[in-house]
Amino acid sequence: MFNGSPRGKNSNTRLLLDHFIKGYLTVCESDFSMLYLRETDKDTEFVNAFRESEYVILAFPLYTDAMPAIVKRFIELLEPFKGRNDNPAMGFIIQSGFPESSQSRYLERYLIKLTHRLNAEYIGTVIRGGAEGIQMQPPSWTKKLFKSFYTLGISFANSDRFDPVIVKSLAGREKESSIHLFFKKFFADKGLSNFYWNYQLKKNKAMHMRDHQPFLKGN
Amino acid sequence: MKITILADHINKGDSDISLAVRLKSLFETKGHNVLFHALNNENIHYCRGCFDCWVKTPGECVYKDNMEIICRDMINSSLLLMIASLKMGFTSEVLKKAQERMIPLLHPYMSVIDGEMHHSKRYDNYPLLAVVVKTEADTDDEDLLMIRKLFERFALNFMTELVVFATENEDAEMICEEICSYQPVKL
Repeated sequence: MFNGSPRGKNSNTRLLLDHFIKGYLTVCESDFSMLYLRETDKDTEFVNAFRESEYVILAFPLYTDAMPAIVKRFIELLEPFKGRNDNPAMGFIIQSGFPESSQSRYLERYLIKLTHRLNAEYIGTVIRGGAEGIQMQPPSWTKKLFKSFYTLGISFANSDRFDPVIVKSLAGREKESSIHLFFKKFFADKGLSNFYWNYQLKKNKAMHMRDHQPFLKGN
Repeated sequence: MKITILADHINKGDSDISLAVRLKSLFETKGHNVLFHALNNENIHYCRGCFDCWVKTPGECVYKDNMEIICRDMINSSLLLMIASLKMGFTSEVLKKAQERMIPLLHPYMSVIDGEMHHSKRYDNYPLLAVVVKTEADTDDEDLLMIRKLFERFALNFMTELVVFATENEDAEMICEEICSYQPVKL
């Protein structure tokens, strides 16, 4: 498993993968390794792990509408594996702070094409939005989410596939409904939907600087 | 107009033949002010995802490297031109590293834009975006369509629009013309 979050061990990606692995290990005892792509001095280890694996799960947050640069860097390391017949099957997990799963779908298309480039079997892509605040949320809020990743791990261990029902349920809404959007816009316009960011700004005594424009000409 | 060019790979030997250098020179000939960055020669850290640029030092990254200059250049430009090689079907990690270090230019707050949630503006104006890619041997139309779409999404999140998406196989003068002809409409 490759964790492609720039936050590494402190990431939301890790939190989700932990539950996936917990579920997986209830069925399979086969060995797996967790590699952190932010450790950019471990190229050889990454490439060897890819070469020696039967299955690869690449999990990461959506970063400026695509994969993080450290993930792209890893993908570029795989160029020598293009078109080989013995590449591992590949699955992907994309989590993002945006509520709509549709925002990650554009990248999903690239990932499918990547598996074609590598002549690798495509396991699937799990997309989960609204994941930015999960480390701060009380257990009652994240219970269902973590259970889904746990169950996904079990089903993967049993079938070598991502269960399409769980994948669909994790993706949630592709787009916000017009009623949801109306309320989100209303709350956003009134400044009431920024609780998470305001909490952090206040904690860091930076609330008064929140609209700072340091790079404007003359500043 | 002021134009910031980000090119992912410029080597010394490329100076006469590189598309990025040719475009720079064409824009300058037309009287534009070009701010040129060869990203492979710049000191740029990977984004570490701390979001300090949103919640501790709003608008400023914790890393004091060349991205400070690039962010300043681009936010004060009318056009941002990205020139990048495709590697494994998408633009290089060198460009991607720079793209994600641009998030201090946005506000953490969320707004509804085109029926989706996006981060809000930090600045009043953002440069228009143009992208030119150097294709690989196996690049096909599907790849180009996907890449174009991903840059349209990037533009949407960066409060701008993708005005030109071209490949290096196209004539530099035509690319330059296409970009410049867009200026009177939108700038």
